[in-house]
Amino acid sequence: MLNEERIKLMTKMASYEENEARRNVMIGSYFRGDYLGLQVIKSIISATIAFCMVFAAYILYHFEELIADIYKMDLFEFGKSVIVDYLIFTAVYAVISYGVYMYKYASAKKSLKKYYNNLKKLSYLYEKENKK
Amino acid sequence: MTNLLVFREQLKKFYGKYELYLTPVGKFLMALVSLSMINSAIGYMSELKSFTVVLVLALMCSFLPMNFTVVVAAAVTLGHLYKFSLECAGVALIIFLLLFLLYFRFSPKDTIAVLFTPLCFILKIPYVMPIAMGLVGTPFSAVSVACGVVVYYTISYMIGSASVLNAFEADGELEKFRYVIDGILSNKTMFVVVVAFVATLVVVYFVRRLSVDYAWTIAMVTGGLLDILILLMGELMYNTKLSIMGLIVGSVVSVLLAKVLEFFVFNVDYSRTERVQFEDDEYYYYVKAVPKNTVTAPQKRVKTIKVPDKAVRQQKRDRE
Repeated sequence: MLNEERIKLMTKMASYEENEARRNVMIGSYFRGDYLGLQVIKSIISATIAFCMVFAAYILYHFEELIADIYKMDLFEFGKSVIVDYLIFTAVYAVISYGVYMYKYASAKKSLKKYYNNLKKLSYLYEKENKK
Repeated sequence: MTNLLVFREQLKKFYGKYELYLTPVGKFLMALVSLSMINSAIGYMSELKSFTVVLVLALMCSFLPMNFTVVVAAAVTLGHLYKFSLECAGVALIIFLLLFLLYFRFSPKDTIAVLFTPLCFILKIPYVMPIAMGLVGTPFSAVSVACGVVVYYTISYMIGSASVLNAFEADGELEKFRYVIDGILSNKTMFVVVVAFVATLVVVYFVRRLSVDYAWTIAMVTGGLLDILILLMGELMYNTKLSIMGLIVGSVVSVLLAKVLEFFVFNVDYSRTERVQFEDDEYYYYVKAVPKNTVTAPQKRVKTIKVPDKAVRQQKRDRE
């Protein structure tokens, strides 16, 4: 039978259940700043490695031209442009991951709190229904 | 239909009872099949092709998390490519590392789609991936499926141009490297397929979430048609050398497979839909409740009827 109150609860809980409970508990055990800091540092490290790889591939691809032009080109300018590219890439990736993890943290905390409350309520409702 | 539902219930019950053993066995089989398929498609390194190695790797995968299977599959692929040509292995390594470093940090749940997409390509039913992931995943699964497409086309391009790569001089590593990168970046088929799959997945996702009856079936068919449409347009615009017959047959098979998936994941009876309305302090609720199709699996019971010894003796006496 349809039970109005139970449906209300389950509707609210559905948003939580789409995410994983275990992961949220893990996220919830951090302070916000700690969690975000840690994730952004990890992102910067992976962005750095990724950039180094792409840069190495770029150098290999243009190896012959670079070797031919190495005395003609302005190495300082080239280095500067590479560093600027690196900074832009890392910053964009870090900002994206900051956003993603900020969202993840907020939703984890919020839903955990709601979920625990709702679980209690739901089990109470089932109990009440069983008694009938 | 009832028989199928009974079968599903029995399957569920069976899984519930033996979950502890069935999950590792499932992972083991998945790893075994994936590794064997990789070996038969690009088996250049004979050491990796030996059955013992495959068996040991699959056994390892059966007890470790799902993502480990993906890492093993990537490593085996790299091993084969290394034997094939160092430059190809280098390019593949860069692509794999970029995927792992930049994307899979955000959504580790979808990683398996990257493995399944190339495998479905080998089985000639790649069109099932965007539909299936749209049905059970989120719009972000599109990135995983797109990565899978890139991995498949990259590797198949490398293998396809084996004769050209072998024709390069012994010290032509740089040219080979350049040739591979150029080939990947100018592969129009790959880009068309990526666009088609991403669009299909997103459309399937949004259609199946609609509150209309038979949303899942509508989503599958719409997705399948959209996929065909975009791929055909790509064929006309860029001459992608796509087999049109294969596309249509593959799409039909994919929709049928998605239908099977629906049977197991989302089996509801629209004829018994109930609509209820109520409110609380914060919201009005317009709830449409569609009951799931369920049957109780009949239980077979073996009943032994024991005749008491006394009665047997009595019967014997009567006969005499």
